[in-house]
Amino acid sequence: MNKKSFFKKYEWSAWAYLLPALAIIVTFHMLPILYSLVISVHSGGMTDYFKKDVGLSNYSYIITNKHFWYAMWNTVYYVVGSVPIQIFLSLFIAILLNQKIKNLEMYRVIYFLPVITSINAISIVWKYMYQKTGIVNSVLGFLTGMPGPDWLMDTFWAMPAIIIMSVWKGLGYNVIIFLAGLQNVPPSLYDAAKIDGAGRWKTFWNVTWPLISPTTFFVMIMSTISSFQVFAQVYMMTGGGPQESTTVIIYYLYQLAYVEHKMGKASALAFILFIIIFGITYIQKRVTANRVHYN
Amino acid sequence: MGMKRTMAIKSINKNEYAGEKFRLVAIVIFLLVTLLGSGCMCGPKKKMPQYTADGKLKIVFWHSMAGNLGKVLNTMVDEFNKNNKDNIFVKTEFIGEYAMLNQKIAAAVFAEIPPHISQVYETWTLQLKNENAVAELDRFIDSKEVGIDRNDIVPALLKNVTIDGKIYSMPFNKSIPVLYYNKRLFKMAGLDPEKPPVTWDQYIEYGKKLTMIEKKGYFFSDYTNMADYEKMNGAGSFPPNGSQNKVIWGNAFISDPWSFENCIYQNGGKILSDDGKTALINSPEAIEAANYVVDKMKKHRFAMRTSGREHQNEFIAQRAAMFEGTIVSKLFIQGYLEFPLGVATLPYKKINTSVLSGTNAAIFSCFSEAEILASWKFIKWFTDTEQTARWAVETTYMPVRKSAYQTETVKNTLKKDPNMKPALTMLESIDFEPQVASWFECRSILSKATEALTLSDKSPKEILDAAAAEMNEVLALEAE
Amino acid sequence: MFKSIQMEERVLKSIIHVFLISGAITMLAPFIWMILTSFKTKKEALDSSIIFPAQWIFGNYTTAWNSAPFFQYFLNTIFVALVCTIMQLITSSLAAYAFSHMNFFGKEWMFGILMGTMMVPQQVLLVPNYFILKQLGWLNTFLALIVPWSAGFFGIFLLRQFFLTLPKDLWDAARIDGCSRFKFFYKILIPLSTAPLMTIAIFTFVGNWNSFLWPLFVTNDQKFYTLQVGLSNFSQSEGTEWHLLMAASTFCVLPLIIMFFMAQKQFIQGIAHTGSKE
Repeated sequence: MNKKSFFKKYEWSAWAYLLPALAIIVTFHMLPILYSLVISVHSGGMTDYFKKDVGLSNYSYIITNKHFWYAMWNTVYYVVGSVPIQIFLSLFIAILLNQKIKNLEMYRVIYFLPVITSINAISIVWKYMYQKTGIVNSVLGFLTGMPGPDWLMDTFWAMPAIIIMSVWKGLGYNVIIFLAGLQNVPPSLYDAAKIDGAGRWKTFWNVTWPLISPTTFFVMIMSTISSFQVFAQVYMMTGGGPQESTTVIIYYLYQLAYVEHKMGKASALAFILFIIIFGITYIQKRVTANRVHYN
Repeated sequence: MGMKRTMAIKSINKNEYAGEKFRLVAIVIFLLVTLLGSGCMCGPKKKMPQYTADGKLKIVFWHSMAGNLGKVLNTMVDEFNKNNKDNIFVKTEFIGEYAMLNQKIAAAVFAEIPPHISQVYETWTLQLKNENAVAELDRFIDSKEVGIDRNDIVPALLKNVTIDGKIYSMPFNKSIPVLYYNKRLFKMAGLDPEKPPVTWDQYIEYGKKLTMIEKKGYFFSDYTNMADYEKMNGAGSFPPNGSQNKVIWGNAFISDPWSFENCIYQNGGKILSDDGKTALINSPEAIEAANYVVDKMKKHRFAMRTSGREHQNEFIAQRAAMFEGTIVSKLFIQGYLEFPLGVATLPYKKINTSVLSGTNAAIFSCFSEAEILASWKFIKWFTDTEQTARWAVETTYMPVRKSAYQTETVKNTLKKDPNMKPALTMLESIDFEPQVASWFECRSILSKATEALTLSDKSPKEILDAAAAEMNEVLALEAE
Repeated sequence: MFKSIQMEERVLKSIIHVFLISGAITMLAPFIWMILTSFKTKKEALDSSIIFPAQWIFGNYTTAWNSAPFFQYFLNTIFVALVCTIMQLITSSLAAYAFSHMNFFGKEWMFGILMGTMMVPQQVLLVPNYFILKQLGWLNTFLALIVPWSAGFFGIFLLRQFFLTLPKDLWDAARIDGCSRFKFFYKILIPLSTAPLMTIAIFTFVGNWNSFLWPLFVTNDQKFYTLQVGLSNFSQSEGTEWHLLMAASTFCVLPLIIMFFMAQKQFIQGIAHTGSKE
């Protein structure tokens, strides 16, 4: 009796619909995580990843490795340097765009242009601009009279250079999202605030800010996760240098796997990263679940 | 997002309902099976030799020769393809910089789809040999039909490609480090432009004389060197390193491990012990070499620190009288110079030796005998006396054969361009970077230490002791 | 008082415009510089005090185009991006349909696990995937470029959201009329979903077009290179030939920019759409 209702309760043809997507996602997006785990407890050569079983020594190699911590530090530096600035700037621009101005569409398109450009091509352009004798330093010299540094070759300025470029590239995306969030705020609330005699700042803080908090936290979570995964710019512009100052964690992973051919250690790192990202997302979701205001 | 649309629903025969369900499942399964199935058929091809449209055997050659170097290579390869009587067609593929080439080789070996021939550094060859991925070449070298005279190969180069007594690659493009100097500035400083510095002491002496600051005269600018300037204005008054005044520096340098390695070897030191198990970069000789590197900038103050390609640019702009670099740079800078150029081997201390850079060519072993033989024939041709002479003359890479130094090509070039002397004269002594499997990591440690020498305030001994300790750790790990 | 509010409004509006315009200039500046440099000579490109080229050298474009099989790269990129997009639309809509309209064993936790896959960075998956692809024998074929990206959680998520907003009785009414599950899917559901489908198509196409690391490693033969891989390769071989590099970069980004201009509304709506649903 139970068996029959079990089969009847569920629609088994659903699996036919799920199969194409599932087959691909399981094989190429989930199975690799497990494989990563298996590879990480082995040590091997170029042709055989599974030559020798080394238990957890790859993990201890990573955790006790100063290059790992240095890369983590660089990544945190990058995230902290780019995410708040991006959020602030994109929210600011979105607010400006929300002020019933002319040419809104034109601005939206212009701000979005960097977003759809391929990161490779645009990294080459920025690398060119950041040359010691490049246009960035020319403009800097023109505006401030100071000679600029050799951005991408300077251990102090390389990371800020990459942060600036990344903020420039990702800005438009968040502007669009914030704009949509702002446009969802019912104008009646603004009118009510006006009647109550609230000034611009008060209106923003008491009406706008709370109402766009779901959007804000969405942007924060997405930006944090994606900036944690930064890679292409570093690869194209600095190669992790100078002196490891721009070696972010994904670049370090790339080096371990593809430059040093240490697949076992790279897989251990990959798994550690997976746990970290999972943890960050989970924490962020828990923290913001309490803070988000829904009307 | 809401939607407001009207739609029409067709009436369907109820019996089709069940049939539809099974049909859907069947279609989906069929698609997946064909997808996977075709994948298996498209898998790595069984190593069948490939042929070109006109029946020539196709050999793929991976390289990192960028820009003009690539053009010279391709021209020579085109000639080989046209003229060889064995119906071989070599296809060159530029893979990217050496770092990229390394990765692609590893990936290709893993996927069992390597090229036939590739440029390889010694450490890569070692790793590849350990994986049985590259072919042993002794049987070709010593063969009667396709062999070459071992004694004609430059001995140091031959030794360099030998692993455990066997040869797994052939020297392909080896470059030497040289000193570039500005003959006009030499004259201005009162030095003989045909006599570049030969020893470290001379280098320091010349460097100081070549460090000058502009002194406005009545009708034209005049330059006074650092010593005289400080006699007039007090010790230490000469503008500090990198300031914007009209200063000409004796030397502009970048922190380069290759350059430091040269100094160590020239002072009779070594980087690793001969058995490759201990780091010797903190030996007294090495520390002396480090002091020499640091003193140029900090004590004698004639060397300006730069990064990237700036030292080259400062030289071109005549703001630096000398710079050290690979001989291959000559090709890239000579078109931009507005003064007579001088090229010389690096000044030395105890041993007049040069540490070579550059790669060799290895043949991958997972191919048919015919393809491996064809690959060898190409390499044999390329490293043959006339071709290696031509390669050397057009790219400044070192000739692989002793007999090449006697060819008309080389002799004529030497007559036309005396600056080719370092490239086209047999070197007194040749050294190479250590050839252990974990050399990449060790080199990176050395690179950071070299940077720290001129960047931090720590003493060379401190820096090198720390680096040696780190290297020993890495080497110990390799032994496991 | 009336006058001062009006004035305040006007001043504020002009300040807003100043900010927006300077922002817009900052957004556009690198593109303008890229295009200007692509017409310069090598020497002009190295001197950043020269803004406009003395002569507009169109030859840079032909030189760059001929230095590498860019035409092949273009074809490969278009082919791969197109097939991936179509496949993603198919697989995502089918799966989303199941999640939204059907009740099956393990529905909830499966959805959760799939959501987890979204967070894993591509580079992390590269090493083990390389191994898996080798086992399948797909390395160095188009399959390796297309199949792994023919399905993704993003599309499933978006479409499921959308399907859930449709009235429940739509399916009930259809079923009564004898419509099968599948017929309902492709005759009714899909035509209604053009908005989210468009979003997914755009994201997949653009993401695939700009993908770099994956194609770099799963293919070895030049004949499979995509535009990004080809461009990166080109940038290593012509390191300081900035005028040529800028020309190559220009013709690599141009197609997407043109497509963007033609489909602006859909692009932007699609993104706004993803943001407003958490």
